[in-house]
Order: sequence, then structure tokens, then C-alpha cells
Amino acid sequence: MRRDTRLPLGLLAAGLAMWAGAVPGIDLAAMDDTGLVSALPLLAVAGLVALNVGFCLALRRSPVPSRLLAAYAVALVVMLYGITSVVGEAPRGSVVWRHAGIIDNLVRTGQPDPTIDAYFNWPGLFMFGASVSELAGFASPMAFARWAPVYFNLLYLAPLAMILRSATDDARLVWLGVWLFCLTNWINQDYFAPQSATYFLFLVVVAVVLRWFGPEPAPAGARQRGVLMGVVLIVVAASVPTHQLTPFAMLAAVTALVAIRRCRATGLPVVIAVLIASWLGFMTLAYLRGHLPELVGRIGDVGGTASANVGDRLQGSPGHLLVVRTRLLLTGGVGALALLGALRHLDRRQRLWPMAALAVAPLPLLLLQPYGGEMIMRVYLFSLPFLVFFAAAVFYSGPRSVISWRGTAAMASVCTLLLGGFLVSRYGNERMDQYTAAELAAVDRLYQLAPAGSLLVAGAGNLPWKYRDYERYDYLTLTSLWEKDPRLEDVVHRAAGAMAAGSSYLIFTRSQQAYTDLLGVMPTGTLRRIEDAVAASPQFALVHRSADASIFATAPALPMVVAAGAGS
Amino acid sequence: MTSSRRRWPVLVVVAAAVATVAVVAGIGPPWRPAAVLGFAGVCPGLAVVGPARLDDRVSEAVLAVATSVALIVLVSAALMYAGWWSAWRVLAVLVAVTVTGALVELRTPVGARS
Repeated sequence: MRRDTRLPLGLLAAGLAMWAGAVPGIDLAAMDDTGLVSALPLLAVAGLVALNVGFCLALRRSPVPSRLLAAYAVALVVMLYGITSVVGEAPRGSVVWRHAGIIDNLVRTGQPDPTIDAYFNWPGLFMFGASVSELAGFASPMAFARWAPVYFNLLYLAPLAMILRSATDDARLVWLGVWLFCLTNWINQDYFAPQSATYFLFLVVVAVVLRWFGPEPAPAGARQRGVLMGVVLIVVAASVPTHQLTPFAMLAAVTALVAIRRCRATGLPVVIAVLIASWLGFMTLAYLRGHLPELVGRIGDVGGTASANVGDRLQGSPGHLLVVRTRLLLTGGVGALALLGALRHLDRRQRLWPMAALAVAPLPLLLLQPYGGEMIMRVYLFSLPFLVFFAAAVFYSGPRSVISWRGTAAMASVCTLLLGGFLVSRYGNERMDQYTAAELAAVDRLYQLAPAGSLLVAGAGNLPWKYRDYERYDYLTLTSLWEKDPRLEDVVHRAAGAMAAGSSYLIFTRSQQAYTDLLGVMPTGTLRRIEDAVAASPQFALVHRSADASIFATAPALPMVVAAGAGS
Repeated sequence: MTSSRRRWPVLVVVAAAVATVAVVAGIGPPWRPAAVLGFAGVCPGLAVVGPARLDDRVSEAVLAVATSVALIVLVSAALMYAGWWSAWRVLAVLVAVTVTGALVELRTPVGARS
């Protein structure tokens, strides 16, 4: 083994050992409103810092030790994105559970019903999940949801490297770009969800176009190019019915490359546009009919998008505000680093022009609509593979440039700063995103109690529910009632009114309280006071209570519930 | 064509057979998920990408996985919208795609590239 490899290898092993020793001991109950960082042991952070330092040292070696750097990248993904998979009771976030419910529906019915909700108009990943889940013999789709952030981010690495390699012959730049991507992909769009899968497909499409259909394509015969174009078309065709936004990002990226004459497949944007239009025109009519005004009405409303994406997020508890500001700082920092790198390499603009075009290509998506207050984050995600290229270029002036020890120290410092920003930004909502065993058991109990057709009411929507019998229940949240009229007594009264119509159950959990307090959806403690008011009301009867959850039924439903053996 | 180039068609057909046996026999975890995910996640895509004979193995693997994921989505969607969906039928189509790709590759003369 070379002497200059021993230290990076040792730091890799030490980093992994420290992380593995510390992470299983994390006490999630000890988190405050800044999220996981408040409960993260110093040893785990030290492990991640050791990894950063070792990676920067390994980059100094010549020739670049590709296998070692690949091992570093895999270790970083596992250590950054696998923390909550190791310590959490179950997959984090409520949306994953809903996705499992949609897959369950498709397995039971065998056909998508587009009238249920929007998810059934873009059901590609759920159909994938239904097929794979059944073939693999999984008892539940949740079997492959727990580790989704890890395997999706591992999947992103190779096409990302292909993209970066198309712009430089300097392997150090490629690896540093990959590293920076892992440290700055904080936006939590890598759980078991359509956007996570189609983001991989987006990277693959861009990689293939840059490498084999660019102005200086890799050597390929007609047969190879035919197969590769076939692959691009298959991948785009699968993305269109899977996610609303990603095909538009693909279209924007390929169009940008054609516009600057860096893509020889000039007809590809037209083909992608036709595929998108065909799907929207023929397969999503049920959804579009009901939502056309809100979809079309926000086009060009940049002010509304900025307000929904930034302004509305700057609220909540002091701890949460710190997290939001860190997110803005991290995102802005990546942009500033990228700009610095681009300015440093202005003399190579011919080669780097495609990366610059791809970095700004997603920006027009901001004109479409606020996308539930998430469009800026999505645009950031689609720009990120190209932004990190320029950010990495800050540290290298040319393929054969030697980086000084001072430069290495600067690189390690920047990476460590980004690491801190990542941990705060990505895991800042963990207090509401994590579910305890008691909460999971309560939701399970809720479905045991409530017969099909019941109205299920939750304090807030971030509940691990909807994972079964998706179409057989009606759902309501108290936060939606609060938005209409923010008075405590009125919310309780209207909830009782809605629940009086038939079999209904109301559930409160710890994570709902965290959600409303953290994000400022209600004034701090309000949901707890609503729960107290419900408990004191003769219109409700307690049917389940545990350390982190309680379930109430409307009083007339109580005899049936008691007969079913509830009341614990 | 190198000998390794001749190996992948055989390997994907073997993987298809193993996955089919695992599903038919109802073998439990971890072998059935491993056999199914190993086959479905790579082999149908490799049967499409393999004939391109890319020089770069990493790129070939990336494209094989992406194409496999895309094919599972497309096959599942086609069967569901047609009202014919069952996991068995999805597997049958994926195996058919894989075996067809492997046979085409085996019948292509050595050195045929463009």
C-alpha cells in the first residue's frame, strides 16, 4: 500500500467506526426544534469530519485513487442519509405511508382509479412498487421504504459522475463534485417517492445526452447511438406517467442543450414535449378538469411563488427559524461557490457552457406555479448536479494544477461547513418527521377501530396513516379547520359536527403537536389545548391512550367501540 | 467480442430463471427478494443496453438499471391500464424481454458494432 494512501484509508475506517459506534445510541426523544443535530453525539460528527478530511487528503494523490474515492462516496451516502434509517422506528415523514397505501390499493384493485386523487394520475412508481412488492413477496411496500434515502442517493452517484466527466478530464474535479453533491442535497426528496426515482432517470437522460449526443460525443456507431436513443426514450416515457414535474425538468435540460448547440439530437425536446402533452391530454383529464383554474391561474405569478416558497416558510418556533435560515444560507452558499468557480474558469467557457446552461435550465419552472411552496427547492435540486461542478472548480484551476496544502485545508474547511449546514438543514424537522413506536401502534389501532367508510380526523396531517385501505376512508385535519377560522372552541365544535354524521375517530399524536408548534401552523401549545378540550367534551369519548397518542370517538360510536374491545 | 461480452446473455437468462423459480416456489426472504430484485433491477435493462456494447462498464450498469426501472414502470402501467395486471404477467413480460435481448446478442456476429 502506498504511504499517501494509508492516512486516507485510516481516516475512512476511523470515520465509519466512530459513526457506527455513536449513531445507534441517538436518543430521538431528546431532540429540540433544531432537529437531529441537537441529539447527534459528538462522536458521530467527528466521524463525518474525519471522512471529509480523509477525502480531501485522498484527492491530493496522483494518479487519483478512484476506488478509494468511490468507497469514500459510498460511505458518505450511508453516513449522511442512513442516520434516521438506523435510529428511527419506521420510515420518516407521512408521505411515505400514503405512498404505501396507494401501492396497497393498486395491488388490491389491479387498476388505477384517477378519480381518487392526483397520485392516481401519475401512478408510475406506485405501479412499479405494486409489481416489485408482489414479486419479491414483501408483506408491505414499507419493506423497501426505510432505506430509500440511502439507495436512491447511491443510485445518483454514477450518473452524476458521468455528467461531471463530460465537462472535464480532471478526475479530482469529478470526485469533488460528487462529494459536494452529497453534502448539499439537503432537500429531502429522496424518500420512497416518484420524484426520487425520476430524479435518477433525469440524471441518466442528461448523462447520456451529454456523453453520446453532445458536440464531441464519445465514439459510437449507428447501432450504439440507436440503442442509446432508445434508452433515453424508454426512460423519458417511464418518467412522464410517474411524476408531474421531472419530465418538464428533462425537457428544460435537453432544450437548453439543443439551444446552445450542445445536443445533436435536435428532435428530442419535441419528442419529450409530445410525450408530456399526450399524458396530460389523455390520462390526467379527471385531475385537470378539477384543478385547471389553480394550475393555470398561478402561471407567471413569480411573487406568489416566492412568497409560498420562502416568505411563508420563515415562521415557526425560534429553533425552526434557525433551521430555515440555515437552509437559505446553505442554498445561497452553494450558488455563491458555483458563481465563484464559474468566474474562475471563464477562459474555458466553451467546454463549460453546457454545465452553465443546465444549471439555469430549471429556472423557468418557477414561472409555472409554486408547487405547494416547494418549487424553489425542486429547481435547486435539478440545478444541483451542475452547480456542484462549478463549486468544485473553485479549488482547481486546470487538469494538472497542483493543489497546495493551504488549498487542501480550505477545501476540507468548506466541506466541513457544508456538512454542518447539511445536518441542520436536512434533519431540522426530525422532531415532527420521526414517529415513535407508540404513535405507530396508535395509528394501527385506529384502523382496527374504524370500520371502512369512517371519517378519520387528525390534529394535523403529518401522521403515518393512509397506508392501507386508501380509498375506503375519509380524512380531515384540524389544521384545515383552523386555517378557515382560528378559534379553539370553533375548531372543536366543527370537528364534532363533521364527526357526528357517522362512524368517526379523532387522533392526536406527539408528532402532530411537534408539527403545529415547530412550523407555527398554530400558536404553540394550541393543539394540546384542543386535545384537552376534546377530552373534556361530552361529545367525544376516549378509546385509546398511550404515551404519545390518543384516539377519541364521537360519543354515539362508543358502544360499538367498547363492544369491539377497545378502551385501552 | 470478448468472452466477457458473451457471458452477460447467459447470466441474465440464468438470473431470469432463478427469479422465476423463486417466485413460483414461493421461497421466503431473503432469497426471493434478492433473486427478484437482482433480476428485475438489472437484467431487462441489460438486455436492451447490452447490444450497444459500450466500452465503459460503469455507464453500461447505470443504463441497465435505469432501463430496467423504466421497463418495470412501463410494463406495469400497460398491464394495469389494460386491466390485465398481475405480478406474474409483469414477470413474464420482463423475462421475455430479457431472453429476447440475450438471444439477439448471442446471434449477433462477433465484432458487429455499428
